[in-house]
Amino acid sequence: MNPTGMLAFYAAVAAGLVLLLVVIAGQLSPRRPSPVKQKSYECGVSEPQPTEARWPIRFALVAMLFLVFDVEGLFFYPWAVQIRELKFQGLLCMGSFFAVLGVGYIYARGRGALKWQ
Amino acid sequence: MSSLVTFFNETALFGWPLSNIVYLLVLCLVVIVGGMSGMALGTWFERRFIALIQVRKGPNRVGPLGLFQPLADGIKTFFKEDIIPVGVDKPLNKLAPALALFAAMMAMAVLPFGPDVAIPGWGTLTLYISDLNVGVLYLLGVGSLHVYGVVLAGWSSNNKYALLGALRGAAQLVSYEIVLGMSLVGVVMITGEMSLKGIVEWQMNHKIPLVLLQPVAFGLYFIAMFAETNRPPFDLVEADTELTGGFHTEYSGFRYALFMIAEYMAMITVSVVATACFFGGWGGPFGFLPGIWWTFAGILFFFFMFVWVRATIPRLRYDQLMRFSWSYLIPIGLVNLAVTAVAIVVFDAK
Repeated sequence: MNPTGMLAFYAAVAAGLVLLLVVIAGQLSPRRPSPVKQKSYECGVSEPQPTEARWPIRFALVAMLFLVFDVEGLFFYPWAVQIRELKFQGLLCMGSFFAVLGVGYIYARGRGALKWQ
Repeated sequence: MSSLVTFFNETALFGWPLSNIVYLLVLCLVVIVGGMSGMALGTWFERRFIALIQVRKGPNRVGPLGLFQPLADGIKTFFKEDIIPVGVDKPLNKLAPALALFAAMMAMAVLPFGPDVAIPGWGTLTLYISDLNVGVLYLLGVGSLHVYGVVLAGWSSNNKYALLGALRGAAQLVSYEIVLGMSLVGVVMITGEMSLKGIVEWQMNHKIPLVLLQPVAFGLYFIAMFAETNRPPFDLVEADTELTGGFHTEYSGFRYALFMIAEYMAMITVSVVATACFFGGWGGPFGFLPGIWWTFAGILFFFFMFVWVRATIPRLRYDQLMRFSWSYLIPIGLVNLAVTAVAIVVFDAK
C-alpha cells in the first residue's frame, strides 16, 4: 500500500464517519421551530441588519499579502530539503528571491499596509 | 482459522489484499476514535485545571472526579434541537461544521504517534496512518482547510457577529499560518526531511531535540499554534465578550459540537506536531527510551500549556493581534530562516 492510497482510504473513512455522526444527530434531535426561536441572534438591536453590508477593506489587503507570503513560504520548502546539496548556488538563488520579497515587505510596511487602524 | 487467514491474504479488492484493507480500516478507526477520546479527555482536563487555577471546583458530579462529564455533554448535544435561523444559506451552513471536523481529522493522518511495532508471525504495526514524504506541507495544506469551516460558517449564518468573527478568523488564521510555515522551514532545512517520521528519526539518530537547534523557530511555532487553533489569547474568532461567540453564534446542538470537536482535535494535532518536530517525537528528546509514551507526554505538556496560557493571558485586541504577526513574528521568522540557511551551508554542507 502506498502512502497516498492509505491517505485516500483514511479520507473516505473520516468523511463517512462525519456523515454518519451528522445523520444520527439529525435523526435524534427534536425539531420544534417557532418564529421567535428562528430569528437571527441579536444583542439589543431588534431589527437585524443585512450581513451583505460593507466590511473593512483591510481584510482584502491581508488576503493579498497572505498570497504573496504564503507562496513564498511554499517556495522555501523544496530548497530547504535540498539545502546541503545546493550549497552556495542555492543560497545565492534563494537570497535573490528573498531580497525581492524583502523589498516588497519593506514597501508594504512603509506604506502602512501592515498597520491595523 | 487458517483458511480464513488465507482468504484474507489472497483475496484482493481494488488491487489490495483484503487483510491489508481490514488492518487499515481498524487503524483509521483507532486513530479517529483515539482522537475523539483524547478530545473528550482534553475538555475535562481543561475545565478541571482551569477551575484549579481559579480556585473553584469545576465539573465534579458525573463519575469519579467528573471524568464522565464529557460523555454526558456529548450525549446531550445529540438530543439538543438544531436551530436553523431564517435567512441562512442552508447548504453552506450545514457543510461548514462537517468540513471543519473533516479537516481536523485529515490533519491527524500524518502524525507519527509511535515507532513501528513488529509482531512476530503477523507483520508490522505502524502507529500512523500514512508516512507522506511531504508530510509537513500536507499538514500546512490541510490546516488551511480549517479556515473554510470558519469562513463558511460565519458567511452563511446571516448574522453580523458571525460575519465579523469569520472575517477576523480568516485574516488571523492566514496571518499566523505564514508564521507556522516559516517556523517549520527551519526544521526541514536541518533534517533535510519533510516526512514527520523522518524528522523524528533524524532527531533519534543525532540524539538531540531540534528545539535546541531552532529555539526561535520553536517560539514562533508555539505562538502560532495558539492562533491556528483559535485558543486564547488569540480566540478573536470567537471572542465571547464582544462577538457573543463569533462564527458559531448561530450554531446549536450537534453542529455546534462539531466545531468544538474540531478545535480540540486540532489542539491534539498541533501538540503532536510540536512534539515530533521540536522534542524528538516518540524517540524522546535525546533518543532515550523511545516509545509512544513520549508522544502522550508531549500532548499532555502542550495541553497543560494551552490551559495555563488561557487562564493567565487576557485576549489580545484585534489590531494588536495583526500587528504582532505581520510586524514582529514574520520578520523574526525570515531572519531566523536566513541565519539557519547560511549557517547550514557554511558549516554543515557535504
